[in-house]
Order: sequence, then C-alpha cells, then structure tokens
Amino acid sequence: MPLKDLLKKGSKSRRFSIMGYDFVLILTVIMLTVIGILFIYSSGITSLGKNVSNEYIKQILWGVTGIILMFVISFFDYRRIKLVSLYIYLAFVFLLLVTFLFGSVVNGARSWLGIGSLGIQPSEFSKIATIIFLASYLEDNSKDIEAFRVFAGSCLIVGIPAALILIQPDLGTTLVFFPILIAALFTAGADMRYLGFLFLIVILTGIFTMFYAWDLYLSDNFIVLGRIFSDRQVMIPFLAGIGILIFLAGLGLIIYRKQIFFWIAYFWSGVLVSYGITLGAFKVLKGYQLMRLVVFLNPQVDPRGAGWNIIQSVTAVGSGGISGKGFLAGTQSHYRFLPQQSTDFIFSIFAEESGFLGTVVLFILFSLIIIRGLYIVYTAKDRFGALISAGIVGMISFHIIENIGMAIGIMPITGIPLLFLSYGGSSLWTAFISIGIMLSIHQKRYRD
Amino acid sequence: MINAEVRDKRFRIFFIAISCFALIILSRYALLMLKPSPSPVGPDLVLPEAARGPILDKNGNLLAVQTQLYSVSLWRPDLTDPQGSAELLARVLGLEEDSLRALLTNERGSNFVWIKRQVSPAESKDLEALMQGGRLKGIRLEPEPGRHYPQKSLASHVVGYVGTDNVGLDGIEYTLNDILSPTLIGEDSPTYGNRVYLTVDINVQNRVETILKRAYEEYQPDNMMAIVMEAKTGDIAAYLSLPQFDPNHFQDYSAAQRKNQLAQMAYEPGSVFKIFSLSSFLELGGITPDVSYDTTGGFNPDYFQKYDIAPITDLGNYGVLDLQGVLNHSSNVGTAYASETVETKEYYAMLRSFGFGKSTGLPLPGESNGLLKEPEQWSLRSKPTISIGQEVGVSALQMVTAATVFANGGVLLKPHIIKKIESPEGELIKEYDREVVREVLSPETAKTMLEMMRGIVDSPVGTTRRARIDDFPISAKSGTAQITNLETGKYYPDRFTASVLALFPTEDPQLIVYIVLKNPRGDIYYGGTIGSPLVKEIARDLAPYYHIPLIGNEVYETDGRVTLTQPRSPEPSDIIPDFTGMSKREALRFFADGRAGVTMKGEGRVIFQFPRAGMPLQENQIIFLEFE
Repeated sequence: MPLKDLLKKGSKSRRFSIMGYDFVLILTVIMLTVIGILFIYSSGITSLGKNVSNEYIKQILWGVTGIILMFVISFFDYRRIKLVSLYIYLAFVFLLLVTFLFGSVVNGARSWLGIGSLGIQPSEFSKIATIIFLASYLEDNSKDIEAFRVFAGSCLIVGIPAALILIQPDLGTTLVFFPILIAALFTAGADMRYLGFLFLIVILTGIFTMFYAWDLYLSDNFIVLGRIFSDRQVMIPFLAGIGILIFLAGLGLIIYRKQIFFWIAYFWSGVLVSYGITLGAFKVLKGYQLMRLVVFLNPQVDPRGAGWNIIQSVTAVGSGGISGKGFLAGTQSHYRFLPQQSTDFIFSIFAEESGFLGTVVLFILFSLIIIRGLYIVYTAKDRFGALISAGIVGMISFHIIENIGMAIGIMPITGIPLLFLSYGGSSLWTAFISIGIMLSIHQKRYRD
Repeated sequence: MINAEVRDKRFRIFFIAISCFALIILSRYALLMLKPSPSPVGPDLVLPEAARGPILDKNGNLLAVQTQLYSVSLWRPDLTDPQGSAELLARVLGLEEDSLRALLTNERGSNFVWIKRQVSPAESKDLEALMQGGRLKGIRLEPEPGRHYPQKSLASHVVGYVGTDNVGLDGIEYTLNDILSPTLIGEDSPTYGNRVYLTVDINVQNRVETILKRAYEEYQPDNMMAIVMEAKTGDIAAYLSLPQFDPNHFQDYSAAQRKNQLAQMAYEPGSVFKIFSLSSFLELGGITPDVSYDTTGGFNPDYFQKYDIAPITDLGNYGVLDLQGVLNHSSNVGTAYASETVETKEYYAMLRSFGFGKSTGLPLPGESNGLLKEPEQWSLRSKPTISIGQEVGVSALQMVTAATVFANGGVLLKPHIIKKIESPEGELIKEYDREVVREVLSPETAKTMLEMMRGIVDSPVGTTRRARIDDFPISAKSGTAQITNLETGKYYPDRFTASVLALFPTEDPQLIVYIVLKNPRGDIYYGGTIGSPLVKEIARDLAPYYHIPLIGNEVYETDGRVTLTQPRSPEPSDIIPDFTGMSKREALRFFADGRAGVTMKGEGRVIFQFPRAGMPLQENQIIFLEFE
C-alpha cells in the first residue's frame, strides 16, 4: 500500500499536516452551506418576485463565521477538550435550566436565550457538549463497558439535557439525543442486551404513542385496544397480566435456567417501560404536539390544521418533477403555502425548484458526510475520538433522516433543522463545530 | 478499543441500518417526484355546490335564477404553448388576439389570471373539446355561479341585479341579499338560498309596460313611472320606471337608466295632491261638499297683499264653484280658500297621517322620504300652496300608498312588493298579508272623495274625462306641476310633471293606478290629457284579469252588433274567435301573425276570454285568455 505508507510517513511528525485534512468533508459541507443560502434566498421571494427577507444575508454571515470556527477547532487537539468536558456539559445543563426559566418563547417553545436581537438556542449546542462528555465517560469506563452501571450512567448523562429540552417543549431536539446515545454506546461496545432493550423501548414507545394518538385524534372509530391507555378497567388487568407474566418468566428462569424465559421477561419488561413512558408522554406533551406527531399517517384528517404542513410540503416536493421548476421559480413557497420555509421545510423548496436530480445530488452530499464520518470513527486514533465521531454521525444522520423524512411525508413532523441548509445560526454553528471536531480527530488519526 | 471482529460486525449492522433508511428516502423521492402529476397543481377552486335563491313573480314565474357558467382562467406554470393558445382562445372567445398573446407570453405576469369570466355555454363547450384534444395546456374552466334574468327588463327596477360574485347590487337582489344568498359556504352538502316571491304579476307588468312604452315614445318625457297596486292588500302588481334596463347586462346602462325613480325621486305632485288636501279639510270639518267659492280674481287675501305675496290663480276663470266644481276644474283658488278653514298644524298632521314626509318602508334601496316641512317652517303662503301640491315633495310610492285610504274606507295600508319567502325546501318562511297602518279618514269622507273623483271623470269639463269608460265607474284625478329649475330656484316656464291617479271600480276599488310623466315633450303636457287615456286603457285591459265586471262596455258591445249587420263581411281572422276549450298551443296560432297580442293566465284549456268571441279585432288589441 504505497499510498497508506505515504500517508503514514507524512503524518509521523507531531506537527499539524495539511495532508491530514479531510478535504472531501470540508468541500461537502461548504457546498451544502452555499446551497442552503441560495434556497433561503429563494424562500424569501414572494409571488410578486420580490425578496422580502434578509435571512439569506444573516445566513451568509453565520456561514462564513461557522467555517472559520470549524477551521479554528480543527487546529485544536481534541484530546484537550476531555479535561474540561464535564464542565462544558454542566455549563450547558445550567444554561438549559436558565433557558427554561427565563428564555424567550419562539414558535411555542421556550428555547431561546439572548440579549436584545442576539439570541442563541442552547439546546443546539448542548448536543455537542453531551456528545463530548458521554465519549469521555465511556472512555473512562471502557473496562466495565458491558456493565449495567455504565449503561445507566450513559442514559443519565443523555437523559438530563434531553429532559430539560423536552419541557421547553422541543420534542424534535429531544429525540436527537437517542441516536447520539445509541451510536455512542454501540461504538463503545456496550452489551447488546442493554442496547437492544434501549432500542426496544424507543421503538415500542414510538408505536404506542402513534397508536394511542391515532386512536385519539385520527381514527374515525374507537379502537378497543386504545382503551389500554385510557380506561382504568382495561389498564389494571393489562398491567397485572404483564406483571404476572414477567414474574412467572423470572421464576422459570431461576428454576429451569432456560434462555427463553429471559427473553420473555426481557420483551415484556420493554413493553411495560414503554407503556409507562407513553403515559408519561401524554401527560407532558400537549395535544397539538401529539397531533403533529401522528398526522403524517393520514394528513387529510386535518388538512387545514395539523396536516397542512405535510400536504403542502409533499405537494411542493412532488411538483418538482425530474428537473424541478428552476431556481426561484417554485410556486408552493412563493405563494407562502409552506410554513417555516427557510428553516424546517427548506428541503421542500429545494426539491420543488431543483427536482429529483437536485435531491439526488443533495442525497449524495449528505451520504458523503456520513460515509466520511464513519471512516473517521473507524480510523480514529483513540476511543475518545471514535466515540465523539460516532455521536456526531448519529446526530447528523438523525437530522437528515428526520428532516427530509418529514418533508416527504414518511416521518412525523418534529421541527428539527436540516443541518447546513436550514436558516439558523445556532444549528449552523453546531454543525460546523461538529465537523471541526471530526476534522481534528481525522487530523490526529496517525499521531503517536 | 473493542476487538476488531466485534467492531467490524457492529459497523456492518450500522451500515445496513443507515442504508435501509437511505433506500427508503430515495424510493420515496422517486415515488413523489417521478410520477407524472395527474392534475395541474395550483390553488384548487373547488367550491361546494351552492345556489342563490330565485326571485319569482306572484304566480311563480322566474324573474331571477341561478346559472352555472364557466370562467376561463390561466394557470401559467402549466402553459406550454402561449402562441397557439392565444390564437385558439381569441377565436373561440372572440377576444383581441394581440392583447391575449401579450397576456399569455408575459412570463413575469401573475400565475393565475382570469381570461374571461362567465363565458357562454357554447364557448365553454368549444374550449372543453379543445382541452380534451390535449390543446390549451394551462387554460382551465372554473365553474362560477351566475345570475340570469329570463324576463330581461321586465320589472327590472324591482328585481335589481347582482355583481360578478353573485352579490346583490340593487333592487330586491340588494335589499334581500342575505335571504337569497346560500347559507354558509364550507359545509360539504349543497346549500341553497331562499326563494322570494314578489307581488309583481308579470302579466300585469307586461300589459302596463306595453301601454306606457307607447306613450313614452309618443310624448318622449325625461322619464316615466307607473304603479298598479291591488287596492285591498297594498300589493304592487306592476312597477314601472322608464327608461329601464336589462339586468343581464346592467353594466351597459347608465346610472340614470338604472335609477329606481318610483322610490328614489321626490317631486312636486301638483294637483293630484288636492284629493289628499280636500279630504283632509273635509275630515277636519273645515268644509263640506256644499261649499261654494267665488274663484274670480284668484286667491289674494289681505295678508297676501300686506306682505306682497303673489296671488294664487287658476288657468281660467271658473266663477263660483262648489267642491265638485273645484275638483272638476282642478281649481287652485277654490282649494286655497278651502285651506283657510283649517289649522296649519291639523292639516300637517293629516298629511303625515297619509304617509307624506316618510318613506313607505318598501324593501327597495334608497327610498325617498319626500319633503314635507315642519309646520314651524311654513310661511304664510305655505298652507294654500301645499294644498295645491306645491312646496311639497313626494315619491310615486307615497302617492299610491296614500291612495289606499280611499279604497279601504279611510284606512291606510302598508304597501308590499314581496308576497312571500320560502325556504329552499318549499316551506313558507314569511308571508305578507294586508297590513293596516292607521285610520286616516272616516269611511264617509273616503267614500265622498271617491265619488267626487268619479265625478271628475264623468263630468264633461272634468280634467280626467278622457279616462271614462261607459258604465264602468273610475275615480281619477290628474295633475300638472311645473318643474323647478334647480339652478335658479324658479319654475321652468315650459317643463311639467304630468300625472294621474285613478282608483276603480269606484264602489269598491280593486286597483289603484298612478302614472307620472316627467317633462313630456310637445304641445300637450296636461296630466289629464296625457294620463287619462292611459288609465282607461289599463283599466280596460286589467279589469277582466282581476274579474272586475265591466258592465256593458259601450265600445265593444256596439261594435259587436255592428259587425253582424255590416254589409261587407269581414275576413274570418278579423273577428275574435271563440277560444273556449282550446289549449295554449291551439290558441296561440291565432296570434301568429302579430296583429293582436295576448295575455294568458293559468294552465290548461281556455275557460274565459275577453273580449268575447265574435267581436271585430281592433288594431293592436290585446286579448285576455284564462286557462284552467
């Protein structure tokens, strides 16, 4: 492998090397940012052909500063962050607490902290803080990585900021913490049984929530099974049945030592926990949030209300056709059919104006980020770097899948930005900081 | 670091998971974006079926009805061939091709443009055929509710008209817009507005219009008005204001043509007003029918001379007159003397009681209150002047309404233009019956005035003698008022308002007819001279329609006898045949040559005709046929 040798040779020195840079990644994110600015400009065009928004100018500012920030961070040795990772994490937990208490309300969520016209969303940056501290914690506990104690500790680290964001309430950003947790634990080598249990709970909670909310808001006829969440006369026997089942399985496991009993208890425990979370979610979440969450299953139930966003977004995407209507020629957006068209639904404008071919290009660009991200995880010099990268890849993947998925009607609408494209300083900087850290990890991959 | 085998395995799992997501997103892309869109994506204009309620005449004939017409619109994003489309559209819709091409090729123009609203059914059919042939991409036909007035200008001032969005702009369409409009749009089920039945009877309206239009052409007045009211109910059977307009194309007419003169114009009524004045004086006990006034030298009392007020005079010197004489000659002097017998305030109260100075409350837009000054503002000359119909402004509606007092034993009725309102399902929502407002005169006074008005018609010197039909008692009073020059404040020397008010039959009046001509051209301008023959013609035509016995009509009866004894036997078609038992189709054959007109009532076979069979057919004669 002459090239590999060459690379190894070149990176032998401890000094910074230009050859160590991941230029594909840098180029990709810059291209995405430029595309984002172009379509934020397009989103400000009205049906009269006039631009009524200066959002694109702000986005250029944040984009340029973000790129500078990315390079600055990439020069730092990421390992130094480890020393202060706990304090950064605690600082952001504190900031989230302050935001919850004193923040300003935008779009129904108390998620902004700021003075005058300058404001930040601490929830965005807290994702990175959590990723770094989680990576640090998992590295420090790598010897007992399969232990339940470490698993529970990880859940707590992620759970605290996630809970603080959930009560803002910003469900979308809260959900991002799950892929971060799963990706980091998965890469760290946590016991698959714990991971599986976490995954099971996420999936079952999702299904239960959808099911119950469908029953409450969408279904024409009352589903009898929906009563297990609302009718005490059904709830008590249901819970008692599961309790007995788990107890018997536990008994069987002790007496017969058969694996099958373990998996029965495992599954039903998952059901029980998910059930509890679902009930809790219905206490915490407001009706409109739940409605928005499930309405993608059948947006025509409330076409002018909760379903409006999905219908308009899917219409915009669908009207793009193969090659699109052309830049600045989209009608769905210019007639203001799309809500939040520069932030959450920037993809819809992009798809309408650039068509299928454009979305495939975008898809390839995002795939490059994820593939490069995975490569960085794979080649990272140490566990800390690999775990940070894994968390970041998990975060970016979720943002992409969720945002594009909701724009094309296969994911619930949770309102998280499409990284690099959506208008917004906090999310753009978060994205660039993430890439900067990854570049730093990549840069140091052959360091002694 | 965990061992390499586990690491690789986990990587594979992660890679497969993420690839699955990628595949789902990609296939959803393709599904959404590559499938050809079946319908143009534009703002959908799907409205629930809704219809504005119809306006009908008394007998249920349609006067205004909802139509579904198509409007042609352009949805620019789908437009593929602007040049070809412009050419085709111009040809089918009869539009200017150049301007249409400019509109279609203007890429900076608005995406949604109306090309032509409410095209004819033939035009929309042609366009539809072209569209099905795959041409005219981007051009759409949007169904739009429209309004059609099948009777055209007939009673158009009552019916009114609607704008393009089916909102009433004038007449009943305007005042009853909320009742006619379909209920809330937004429900899925079709909604319909209520039906409004007018008191207008298109048969009567048609007859009156035919008669008056002839006079309109002959005398060429600035405008002309006529009302026929059913005397016992206050129902307006005919409501005519000339010039008139066709509400189907109301934009093509001037504001003056669309103006509802009957309700909106206030004018000095002139001598017709004397019947209200003199009956007031009778009622107040100031005069009796036996009074006698020496009208020689005019009305010039001491206080007129003292303040140098011009005396009130007559056209001629009529000498000593009793009350009937005052009415026969329409003597201003006699009326002025009579006005001296009552208190100003009492006279004013009587006029208010007749309804002057206040609108009648018909649901028509902009009804005038008229102009009746408060007694405090009256000058020394006001009482005698008002009593002869000057210094007072009235609307035609007020005049005809006040006349109900004579037909109802002294009781004033409320006029009606709406007979009833029905829900879309046919349930009766509201019906307007005879409504008594107040008692104005004693039955005796009312009867006296009616008889005296008949006396005018029957008198050889009466101003309305030309309305006389032998053995058919008509009560009528005419008036000729000078028109005020609004610039100088003085009367024009040569402009007059000619009018006549008639009630018949005198014993128990069934109909009130009021005709006004403003500024008739030519030498004849007297209300009696112009109006009386019109009253006669209307009475003769409408009496049989309302089953008012026309006892021994001289003209027809004698002529009938003569016909049989005439040496030269007339052509068969010159004699009115016996229609009895004929169907409408059979009966109409007789009228095919256009020498005679026909008024028909009812459905089925002829049970009654007027004039009766065997009479000679006169020129432009109208034959009335009733079917059952």
